[in-house]
Amino acid sequence: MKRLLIFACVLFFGTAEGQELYVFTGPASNMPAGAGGLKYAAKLLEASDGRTDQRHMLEWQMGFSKKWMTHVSTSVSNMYGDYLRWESVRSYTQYRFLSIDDVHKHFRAAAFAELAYSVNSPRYDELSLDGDQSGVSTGIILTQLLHKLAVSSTLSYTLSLQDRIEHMGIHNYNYNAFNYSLSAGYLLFPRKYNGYGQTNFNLYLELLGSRALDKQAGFVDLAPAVQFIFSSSTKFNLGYRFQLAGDMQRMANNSFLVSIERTFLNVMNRKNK
Amino acid sequence: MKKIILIVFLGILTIPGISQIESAKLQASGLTCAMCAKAVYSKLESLPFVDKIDTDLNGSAFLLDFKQGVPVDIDAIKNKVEDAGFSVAMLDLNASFHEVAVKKDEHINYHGLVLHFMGGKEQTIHGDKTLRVIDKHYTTAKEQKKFNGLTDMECFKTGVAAACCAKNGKGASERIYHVMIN
Repeated sequence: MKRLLIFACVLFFGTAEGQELYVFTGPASNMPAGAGGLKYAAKLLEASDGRTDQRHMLEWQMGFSKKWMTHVSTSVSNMYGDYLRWESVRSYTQYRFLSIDDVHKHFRAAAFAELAYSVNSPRYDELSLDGDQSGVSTGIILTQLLHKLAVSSTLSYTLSLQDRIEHMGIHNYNYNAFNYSLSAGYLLFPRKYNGYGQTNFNLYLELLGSRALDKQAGFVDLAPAVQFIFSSSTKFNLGYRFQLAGDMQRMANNSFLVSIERTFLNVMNRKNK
Repeated sequence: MKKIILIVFLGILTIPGISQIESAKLQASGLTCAMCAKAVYSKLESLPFVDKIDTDLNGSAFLLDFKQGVPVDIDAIKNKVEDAGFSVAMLDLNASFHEVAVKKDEHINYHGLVLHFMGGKEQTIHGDKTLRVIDKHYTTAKEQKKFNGLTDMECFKTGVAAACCAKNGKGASERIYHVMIN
């Protein structure tokens, strides 16, 4: 089934055109100036003891200008304990510094920075600011839209800012890492638009990698995903991420991501100029 | 009663500054999806002089009808598209004229706007005309290169009267829109 899905994605991407509202990463494009967004995401994975671990994240997004947006989020999970409990806050800000637009095309570049605080005690080499660890991250995103196909790459550096605890007497956790991704998205339906109310269906395939910089460890994941966009304002995303190759100590080598996101246009008052 | 209506009607027609740009066709660039187009639509809808918008989603085009008697701010249209995160690829203004003499590199005052006619022959225009705005940020970068050779005047580069056209009663910062008759 997994292979079939990958084959289907590759087939569609190979034929032409897509979208850039990626499920596991983000594009260099920002949300509109003055817009707000609310996102709920759930990450589900099978823990080593066989139970299902879950994280629930709530995020508020703001487009302060056409070039600058910021997200703030908080999460709860049972990934580091027996019960769901509050674990983290995170802030993400992105500045689009290049935009070359043409009809049905664009090339964009953006820089971002991220800061996270987590109460969790890290046990794994994999650095994640989505609730697992306290840390900072910064990087760039390059996105090319060509009709219905959008291809994007993110390159970033993440530094953990957390006190480490020894686990089983070994103190060998990863403190900083280089992360990279290559994502493709394709607008499958509708084939022809006739209104804002039409449901859009997008297919995504993302390659997500990380390389530890202070030890020899890394991974590369493949993440297919589907997305429905209702009434041009609400996104429903479903993705599955699995490891293709890697030797990094991780919480899990595969996980599901389910998210729903609503954009509210013109929530911040701006002059009609 | 008929006379009063006629007088009021004629009065409206002759109010200085009344908008005679009746509608426009705008093509946005940098987008394909309906969600992106909706962001543009929502921005354009907030303009005080816009009456109605029809969208051609497949062509990323918006047909704007303007309110009678409310001055049209052309730059505000472009700014709204850019606020949504995209660019203007083409803006055609539909306007009516009454025996207006135009010639290449000539500026005319048109209901509160200064229009600089580019590339066309010397003529008197009358009736409904479509004017394409060819200023920077109103066309794609590729298209813009075609227009650069049409004039040596500095105002085309700056978009304002500046050094080349500040004379004749115009201030240096006065906005000049460069247009071609379609």
